[in-house]
Amino acid sequence: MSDAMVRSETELPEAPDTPSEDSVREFLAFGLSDETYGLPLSSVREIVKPPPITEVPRSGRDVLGIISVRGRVTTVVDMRRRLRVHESPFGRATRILLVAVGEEIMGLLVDRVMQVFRLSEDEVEVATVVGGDTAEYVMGIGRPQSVRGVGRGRDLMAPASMGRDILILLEPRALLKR
Amino acid sequence: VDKLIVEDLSDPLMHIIRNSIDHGIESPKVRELAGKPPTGTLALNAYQKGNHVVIEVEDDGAGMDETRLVEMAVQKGLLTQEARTDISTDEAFNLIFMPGFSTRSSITDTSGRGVGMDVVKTNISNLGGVIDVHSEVGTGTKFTITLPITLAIISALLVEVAERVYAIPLTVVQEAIVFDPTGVRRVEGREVITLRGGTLPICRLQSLFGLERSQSAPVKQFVVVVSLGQRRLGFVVDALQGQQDIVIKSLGRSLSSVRGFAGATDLGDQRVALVLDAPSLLEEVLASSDVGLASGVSP
Repeated sequence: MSDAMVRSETELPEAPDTPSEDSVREFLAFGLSDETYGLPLSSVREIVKPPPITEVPRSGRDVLGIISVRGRVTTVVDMRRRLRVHESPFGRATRILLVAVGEEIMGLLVDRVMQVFRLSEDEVEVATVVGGDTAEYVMGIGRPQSVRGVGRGRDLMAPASMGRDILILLEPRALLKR
Repeated sequence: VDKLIVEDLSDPLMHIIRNSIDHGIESPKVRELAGKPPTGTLALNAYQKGNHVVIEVEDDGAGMDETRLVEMAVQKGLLTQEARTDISTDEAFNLIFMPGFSTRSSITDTSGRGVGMDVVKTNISNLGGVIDVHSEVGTGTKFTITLPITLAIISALLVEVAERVYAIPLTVVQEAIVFDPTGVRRVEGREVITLRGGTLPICRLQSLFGLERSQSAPVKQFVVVVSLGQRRLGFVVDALQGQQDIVIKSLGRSLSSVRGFAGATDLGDQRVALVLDAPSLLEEVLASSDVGLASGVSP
């Protein structure tokens, strides 16, 4: 499936016949250090455990290197470096998200993958509070009002944690710009 | 098949097909006399065989007469009288790929636009392919073209630098020698060694790539001599791992600004190795030392 198709679906204004469904967007939540981020679920192709990564000399500082995913050479970016959060050593929960960024599939290394959030429009706030160098990557702030997690995530999100969960929603396309 | 191959394949393929129709398939009358259906058949087959694609063009025409081919070749001075006796059947058929060979003197509309089969063969060899021909008088002729699936399959020398593996395309590798650190001299701010009386600039890949070692460098290192035209450069590496046929895959757009690598290859067991872009590294290393030289600063 073409990446453009996926994107346009998610960016289309609500179709008149199913307004309630279309204003809800799904985001995959992942953790970097003690922050929680979200990427549009439609852009995430796959989640893999980190295979051996071949470093690429003279690439950007946040480029960890390349991996081969089913014969395809994929660039892996360390999201912790790119978003300037604390870097901890690879753990058991470390994952690589394979994300469609423009025409390329890129690997984004994250500390942990959490759950899928379905956010309606009023739960997404346009980012104004996030400043600094990393602001270009942020498309908004997600504040889930209700437990909308799907699948396993429902258990992870206990009502007690409500209100504390703030998702920094990232724009995949912006991640490529360097 | 690689798109680049397809583009370069259409001309030679058309030529073979035209040739078969024009020279191979006889007129309906002749065919009927030979007990064949009046309409000639030209079969085009393609299939995959390992890392190669085989394309067959087969006609049920007159076939080629081996002895006539040899005679023609002798007439045209492509073959000596002495050589004609010990020429094999295959060799005889392959005579048609020699420049200046054409079994028909007249030029027709369908084929014979002055392009010989030699051009076809050259085009196919340029693609890394092989063309073969088999023919039987009265039965037909079959051309078999074998092509690599992708132009990106190359032979490479795998080398180790600071515990990492890199691939150097074998086409640019001239030789590999044991590195003698005591033989290194500095000439105009550039490290050089003497190789068979000549001066060879060298480049330590470890420092060029800024690689950190977890162990100290091995006592015995190697110099891989790459050459491009008149220019030569020696890459200092830790170990030679051997030769391997690899498939080069391009690096993603996100790495398009990184110079010095032609791509990457999957070594199996999940390991990926970068393929050095020898021309660009050669350019870069030789140019940068020139700068150092001009400003009087040694690198």
